[in-house]
Amino acid sequence: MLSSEKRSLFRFLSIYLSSTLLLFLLATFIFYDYHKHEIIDIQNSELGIEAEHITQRLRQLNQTFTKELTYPYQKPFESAIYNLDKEYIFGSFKPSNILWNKEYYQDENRLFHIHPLFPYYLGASHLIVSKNINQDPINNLIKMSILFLFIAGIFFTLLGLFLGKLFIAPMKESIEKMNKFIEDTTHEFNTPISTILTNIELIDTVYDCEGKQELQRIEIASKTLSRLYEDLTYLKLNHNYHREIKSINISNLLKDRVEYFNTLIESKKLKVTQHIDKEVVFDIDKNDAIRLIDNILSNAIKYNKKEGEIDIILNMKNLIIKNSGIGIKKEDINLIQNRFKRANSSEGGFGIGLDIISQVVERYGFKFTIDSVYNKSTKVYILWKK
Amino acid sequence: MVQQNILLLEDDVQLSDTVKQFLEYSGYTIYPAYDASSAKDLLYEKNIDLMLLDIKVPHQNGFDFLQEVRDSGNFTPAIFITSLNSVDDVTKGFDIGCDDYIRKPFALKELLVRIEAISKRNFGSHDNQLDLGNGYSFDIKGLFLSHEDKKVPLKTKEAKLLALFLKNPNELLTYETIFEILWEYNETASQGSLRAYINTLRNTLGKNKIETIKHIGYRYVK
Repeated sequence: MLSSEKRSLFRFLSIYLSSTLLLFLLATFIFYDYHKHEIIDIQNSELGIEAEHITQRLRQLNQTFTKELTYPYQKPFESAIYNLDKEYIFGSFKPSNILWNKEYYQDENRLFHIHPLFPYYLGASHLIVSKNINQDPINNLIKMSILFLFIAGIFFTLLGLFLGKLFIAPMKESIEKMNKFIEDTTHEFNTPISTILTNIELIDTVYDCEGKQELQRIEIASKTLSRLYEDLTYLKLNHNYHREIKSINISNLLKDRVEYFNTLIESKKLKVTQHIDKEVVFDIDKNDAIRLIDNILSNAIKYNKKEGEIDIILNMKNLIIKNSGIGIKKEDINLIQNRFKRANSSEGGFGIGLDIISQVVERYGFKFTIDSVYNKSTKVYILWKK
Repeated sequence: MVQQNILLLEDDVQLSDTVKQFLEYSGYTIYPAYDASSAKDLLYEKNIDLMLLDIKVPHQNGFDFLQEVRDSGNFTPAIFITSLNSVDDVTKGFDIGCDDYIRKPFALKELLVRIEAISKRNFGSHDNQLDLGNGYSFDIKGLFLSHEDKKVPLKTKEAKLLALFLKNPNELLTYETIFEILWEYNETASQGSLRAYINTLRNTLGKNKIETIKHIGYRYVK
């Protein structure tokens, strides 16, 4: 799967899932709240029944006048009686902070019911019945709600993934078609380019002929074509390209690449100064390194004046390629830096070279900087380590 | 003069002609094939020393072609010429049994260097000159024998036989193997002439260099 594809799928999923989950969270909360009230109501009605029961017992006590007054006390209920002035008379417990204006109320873990007594048996006018809230049904309810949310979450994630893939499928198909096309074309292009380059070499080795300059131009043009296709396949195959990361002598590689561009450099009559430290070695895929160096070098040559200069500096810290070129305008520098940050090829004008440089730089954690004085020089830095 | 035979499987006529011209200029005999089945015919008819194989060719791709050749017990060295870029393809090539690969577009000189490297490896040498002792040396590239920098005249088949011995030192070579390699499929092999060639080689290099294994074949002693 391409990274852009992943990104859009991820975006879709996150919007889709967060909105559905929000909805479900709300629905579950309403459901939970409703059922919790129902559970409390049932337990409150038990209190009501017990209050009636105690009232009857009190009435009996009031009427019978036996020697022993036994307060009707039955677990798990606690109760107490109060007089008209809401003063405590007697009871199995003594609650504090009584909310007299409510018929039913609850604190953290107890339910209370205030039951008016009429007539005032034993001088009592209010009966308070209380019991511990039975947490079991509420806990069950919470468990059920979480389970429901969890299952819904899984279901909608799967559904979202399926939908996302469904939407992406046609896009993916056309990308694959295009990739296949590029791959085939590259192959087709490679053979004629090979023929041109080998024949130039053949003329060079076998015959001593006139018109070397013309041949040189053909060679440069073919090499440029060939490099363009290397870049194109690099970008295209980047995702499933198997990298062989091993220690590479960058010093030698850089010299080789400068040599490769030699015809191009000569044709522009450029003066190249090299300050290449020996034995700059680190772990990188060779093709990645070549693409990085080639693209910087080819730009330094391409955007240079005739008979201009190129300075190449390589050491363990960084690679600096400076040219006495046409330079880049300030606003374009910003554009390049921005585009570099976004690694986005949709804005044209700089070729695919910048994309390749940015991909390599990002992959290995290098740092890319570009400095330019318009109409004078451009300096590209690659810092090997952050 | 004896030359190494190279089979070139490349469907693009222009490129094939170019490579052929260059390698002939460098002293090789080239048999071009433009599709897999004619390449198979050539491999059967000629004594091929090395194969250069493009991957995308008509009838069968280069990988399958080499696979079939290797399966049939033929271990002629092979170099893939490919424009497929991924390392996976290269890995696949080596798994099948190619000896090297070169990517398009390539420089002719690089191709030549790789061909020479493989020839040297075949003779188990790092040098173009193989020292045979007593002042004799064998040129791997040109397949000729020299004695203190002077060429020793050898018949084509004698040079071929010597090359075969040098590629397989201390190994028993059966009559069958020798016949198959020395004589092309439209020639008639004869035990008599083989004996004559062996004698010539013994007379130049020394009697004990080539051992006779009765009724089976010969062995070159290094």
